[in-house]
Amino acid sequence: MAGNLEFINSFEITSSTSAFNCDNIFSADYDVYEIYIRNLATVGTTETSLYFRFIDSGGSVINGTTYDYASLEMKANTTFAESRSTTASFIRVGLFDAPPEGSNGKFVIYNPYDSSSYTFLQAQASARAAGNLAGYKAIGVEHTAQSVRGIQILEPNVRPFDEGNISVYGVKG
Amino acid sequence: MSEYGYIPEAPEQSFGNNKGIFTPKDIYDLTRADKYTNYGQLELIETKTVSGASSTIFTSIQESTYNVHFLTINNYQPSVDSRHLDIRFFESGVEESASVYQRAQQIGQADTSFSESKSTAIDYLLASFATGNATNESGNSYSYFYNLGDSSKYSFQTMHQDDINSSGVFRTAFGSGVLPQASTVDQIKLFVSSGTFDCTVSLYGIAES
Repeated sequence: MAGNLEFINSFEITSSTSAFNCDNIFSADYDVYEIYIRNLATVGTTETSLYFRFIDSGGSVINGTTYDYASLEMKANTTFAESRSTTASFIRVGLFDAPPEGSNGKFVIYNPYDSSSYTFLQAQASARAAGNLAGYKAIGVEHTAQSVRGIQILEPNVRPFDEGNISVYGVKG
Repeated sequence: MSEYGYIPEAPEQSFGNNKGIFTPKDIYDLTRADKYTNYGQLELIETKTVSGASSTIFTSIQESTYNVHFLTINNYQPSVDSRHLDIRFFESGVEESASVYQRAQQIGQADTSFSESKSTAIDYLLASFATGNATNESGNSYSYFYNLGDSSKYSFQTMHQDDINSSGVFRTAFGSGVLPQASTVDQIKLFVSSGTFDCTVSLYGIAES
């Protein structure tokens, strides 16, 4: 009997980019997905924020202000910081830095392929940034009732990344 | 007949893309080569039932197979009241017990304001915050570990827990931890700083991660 966590696809980032697409990962086969990211690391050594966007059914990255998110940044060396928006063009999901201080985390996506519902996200990540632990907990939603087929990993502040592994799983109901 | 049932040529086989008619030996060989589509990528490594022990160690975590590990802890209860459950890693067989770990957790307690708990130099990661030892006071948690078997990367943790603390108050905590040393972690130790503890703990690997 098949287990409940079913591998769909994996991706490896091997060259410098500010946006990496994991396309055609969502389908009618699952309602819930788990995405694991390991060692996502920047080219430079300045810490920066990590963002997600979704890719619509036509293959276009959704970059309008249709995202809401709320997140808590938990650094081991300083007071924790909240971040939130109701009019964002992405979902903030973490921090990252140069190797070996990459970002690692699990991201759960709900209802992406259902054209009649919003797409929801929960994230928890762990990274080192500027020499200290940076934990991250976040929620997000793309509040358009539409079918979504992929995600984009994004760094919009001109701090490209060139390393990372992404594995995508479906959770069988 | 060529390899994996095809005539005259054997197509390339990979996870999610198998073609042909397979004998049991084909399936065995392809599975061992991680080229056969077997769904169910949450794979149990070991379950331990801990009773009255001061520590327990997972000594065979299959760190060369899994890049992501998942640890669940059920019904944790210490013998000494208000005692947290801690994690240490072994690097190539040697326990790292120095204050080189970092952690950061947000605590949400049912009877008061949320608070922060963090350290940049501590000798353990947290599996569960200080739980009570009275009847029905216990803790439950999960942790994910990343890159344990990668000697070129740091070993990271994310965790989330809930418990009934020594005042009988319900509480949650979530956050992260890291052993910021590029090393191969090959064992995971759970322990309390004094007394003993009970719990059921399971370690899983996330295949294909």
